[in-house]
Amino acid sequence: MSGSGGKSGAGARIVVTVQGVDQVGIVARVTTLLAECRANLTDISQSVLGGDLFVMVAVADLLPDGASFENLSDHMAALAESLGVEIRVQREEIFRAMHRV
Amino acid sequence: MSLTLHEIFETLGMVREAHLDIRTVTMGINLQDCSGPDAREVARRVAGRIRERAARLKEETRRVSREYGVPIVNARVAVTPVANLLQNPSPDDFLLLAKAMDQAAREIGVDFLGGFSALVEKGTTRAEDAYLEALPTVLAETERVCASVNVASTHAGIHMGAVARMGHVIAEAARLTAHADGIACAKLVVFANAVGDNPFMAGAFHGFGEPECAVNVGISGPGVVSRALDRVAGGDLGEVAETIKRAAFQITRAGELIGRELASRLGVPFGVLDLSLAPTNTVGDSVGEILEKIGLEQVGGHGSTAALALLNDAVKKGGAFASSYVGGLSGAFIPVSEDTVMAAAAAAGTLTLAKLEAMTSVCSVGLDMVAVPGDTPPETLAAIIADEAAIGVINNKTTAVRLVPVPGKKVGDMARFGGLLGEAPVIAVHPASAAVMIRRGGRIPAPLNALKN
Repeated sequence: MSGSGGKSGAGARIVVTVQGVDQVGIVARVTTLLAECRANLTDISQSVLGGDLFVMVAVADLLPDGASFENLSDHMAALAESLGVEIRVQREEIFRAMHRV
Repeated sequence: MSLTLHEIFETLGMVREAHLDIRTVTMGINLQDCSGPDAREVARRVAGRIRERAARLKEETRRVSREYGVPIVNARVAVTPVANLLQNPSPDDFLLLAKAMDQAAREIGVDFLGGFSALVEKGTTRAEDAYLEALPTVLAETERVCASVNVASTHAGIHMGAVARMGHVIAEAARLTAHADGIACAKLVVFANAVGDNPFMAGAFHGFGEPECAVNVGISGPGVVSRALDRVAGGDLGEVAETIKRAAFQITRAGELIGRELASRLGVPFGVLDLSLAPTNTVGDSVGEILEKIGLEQVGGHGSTAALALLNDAVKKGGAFASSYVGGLSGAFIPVSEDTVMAAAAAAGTLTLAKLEAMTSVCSVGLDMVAVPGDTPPETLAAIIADEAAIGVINNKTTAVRLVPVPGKKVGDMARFGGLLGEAPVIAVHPASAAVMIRRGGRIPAPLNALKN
C-alpha cells in the first residue's frame, strides 16, 4: 500500500480513461500525448458502445525522467477540451486498492 | 493480474454518480509544549505551531486528491485541548488565544480548527472554569475555531455540574449569534467518552497519548452504499448487510491508501481511519436515504433503530477488514441539518427528538445538529445532554450532543446555517422540566462494568 511516487508523481503507474462521443483520432492523440510525456503504455483497450459512445482505458508507466503527474494531467485536460470528451488520469493504486484484497 | 474495465469504470462511477469522496483529512498537532504563564506569548506560540505544521496541508491534499481522482472534501487541523495551556488564566486570555487560532486557521486555509476543548468529566480546574466562562464569547467571536467539552466517561461517570453549565453555555452562544440562527452552537460538541483521534468536526481534538503530529482520515460514502443497495432491492437483510460490508470495504481502502500517501508526503505518521458514514446535504449522499432503502417508509418511524444498527455494524465489519488502524468515532452519523432526508423526516414530524435519541444508542455519534426552540430552558438543554451522556457511559461508547436552540424560532420554523451545515426544522423538546435534577449538581457515579444483563 505504500506510495510509489515522489512529490511529482513521476515514476507512477497511471490509468487514463476516456469517455465521449466517438470521432477520428482519439486514440492517436491520447497515446501521442502519453509518449510526449514519457509515459510508457503497458495496456490499452477501447470500444464504441451503443453506436457512438467511445470508451478507452490506457495503463502506462510514467517514467522517472518524464513529465510530472500534474503536468501530464494539465496537458490531458487541455486535450479533453479540444476533443470535447472526458479524460481522467489517476494513479493505478486506487483501483487496485478498491477491488483487490 | 491487470485491472478489468469493469473494475475501472466501477470506481469512476462511484466518484461521478455516487459522491465517493474522502470527507476529511485532519492533521492532529500537539501543543502541550506551547504552554506558559503569559497568554499573549502562548497565543503566539500556538499560532506559530499551527502555521508551521500545517503549512503544506492544503496544497498536498489538493495534489493527492488529483492524482488519485478521488475528491477530498475537507482538510482540517485539530490541536491539543487548549484549556490546560494557560496558567492562571482569565476568560479574556482564552478569547485572545481563540482569536490567534482563528487567524492561523485563516492563514493556512482550513475552514475549521478543532481542539478548543476541555476534558472535565470528573471536575473542573480553575483554568477550565475560566475556559467555560469564555466559551460562548469565543464561539460567537471566532469563525473557524471549534470547541468540544467532555462531560462524562464510563470510568468517571457524568459530571452533572459541567452538564448544567453546558446548558447555559449553549443558550448563551445561541443568544450571542441570534442574527445567524445561533450558528455558534454548530461549532460546539458536548461529549461522553470523547476520543482523541476523531477527524470529524466540530468534535476533533488531538488527544493526550497521541504523537507530536498525525494525520487521521474520515471516510464518507453514504451515496456509494445507497447505490449498492439498489442491486439487492428484493434481497433479505443478510444480503443487505453483506452488500453494505462490501461497499464499506471499497470506500475504506480508498481512504486508507490516500491517507497513508498524504501522511507520507507531509512527513507525519498516519493515525487512524475513521469508518463513519458522514452525509452531506447533496442529494443522494444521505444516511437517511440508506435507512429508507432498507425498507422504511420514512426515517424516524418504527424500525429505524434496527435498520441503523444493521447499517452501522456492517460498515464497521467491512471497514475494519480494509484498514490496518481503525479509530476515531467510527459509526454512522445522523446529523439532521446536514442530511436532507433526515431533515425532511424531521419536518414531516416522523423523526422526533425521542427517536433520534434511541437511534444514537446504536450508532455514533449522538444528537448532531438538532435545532430546538430558542426558548428552550438551559436546564432542559442540560437534561438532553445528560440523557445522551448516560447512553454513552452505560454502553461504553462515544456519544455527543450538538444542539442549536434557534433564537426567536418555534417548532416547525426552519433554521438555516448555510454551507456544509445545511438547514433543519426546529423540532420539539419535552415541556416537562428536569430543572430540579439538574440543579442538584454532583456526579452520577461511574457504572458497574459487569452484571450486564
